[in-house]
Amino acid sequence: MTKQSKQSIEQLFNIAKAVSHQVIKLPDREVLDEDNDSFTKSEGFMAKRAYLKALQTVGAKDTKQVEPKVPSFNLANTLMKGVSVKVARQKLMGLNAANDPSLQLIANSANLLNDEEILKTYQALLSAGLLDIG
Amino acid sequence: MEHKLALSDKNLEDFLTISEIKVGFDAFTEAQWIKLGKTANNLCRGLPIEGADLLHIVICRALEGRRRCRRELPMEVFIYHAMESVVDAFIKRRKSDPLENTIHPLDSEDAIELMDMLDSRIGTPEEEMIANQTLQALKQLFEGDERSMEILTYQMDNLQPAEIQKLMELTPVQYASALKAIRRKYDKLGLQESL
Repeated sequence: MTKQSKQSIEQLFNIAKAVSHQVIKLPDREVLDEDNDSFTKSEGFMAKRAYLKALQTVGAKDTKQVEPKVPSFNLANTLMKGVSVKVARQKLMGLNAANDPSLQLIANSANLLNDEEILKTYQALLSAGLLDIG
Repeated sequence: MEHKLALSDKNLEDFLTISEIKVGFDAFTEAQWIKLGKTANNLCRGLPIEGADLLHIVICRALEGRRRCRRELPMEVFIYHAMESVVDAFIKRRKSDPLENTIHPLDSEDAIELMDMLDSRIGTPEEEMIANQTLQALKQLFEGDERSMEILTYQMDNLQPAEIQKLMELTPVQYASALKAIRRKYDKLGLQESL
């Protein structure tokens, strides 16, 4: 890598820090009022998914440590059988603040997701115990 | 020894437990998630890594208890600073001499994980291209906006806000207003990348 490229990375990082410090300090109301486009909402959705994925990763590690020889049984995968994209999307859209305030974001973004993302999210929520089976 | 243990227990009480961290995440508002997603993407701008991957690494560490959050700290601030320190360590490790890495092997486990994840992409022409193109796009975005460009140039050199204000003879209100305009324009960079 050239010296110039290394310098570019550092300069971008310094700007990213300055901008991000402002973002983090913004009042929640201002974030929602200011950034009302679907791209911004998708950034929030991405973060939520990273959390759900982390729950799976950490959960998977724990299971592995406790029962290394037990064949894995994935309840979520089993439940996914017979669930159509349409039903999964409806379930996600039906999430509301009464279930969990943080799930509202997913409900709002469900229409922006493609079929694969819908099924992945549905499965992630089931695995995390954040979605009712019924 | 007893004194040390007592001190250690007291210190542990200053931090959230893993369960409390999980409860904290579960109660996150839409705005908090947006802040985390946005800042993760910002920090990865110009790097061959996605904001989602960076967030995943940091949140895993928090859920495993390997990164601890002080009780008085808002959780989004805690996660943001963890992400910032991982990227900072990653950049520093990349800059440093390989010999230096062997002398300080434990400076950042997360940065090492990031290095491993990006191993095949580090030092490639693609990586250089991403960094240079992103910086070029940023400069184009602010072309003609001299005040913003001047602030950005100082920020690139890692100058502190007080120093920048002094150098540009800006009042705190003028500076805050300029930063807000920069932030809004900077967001468009992310939108361009997503298209």
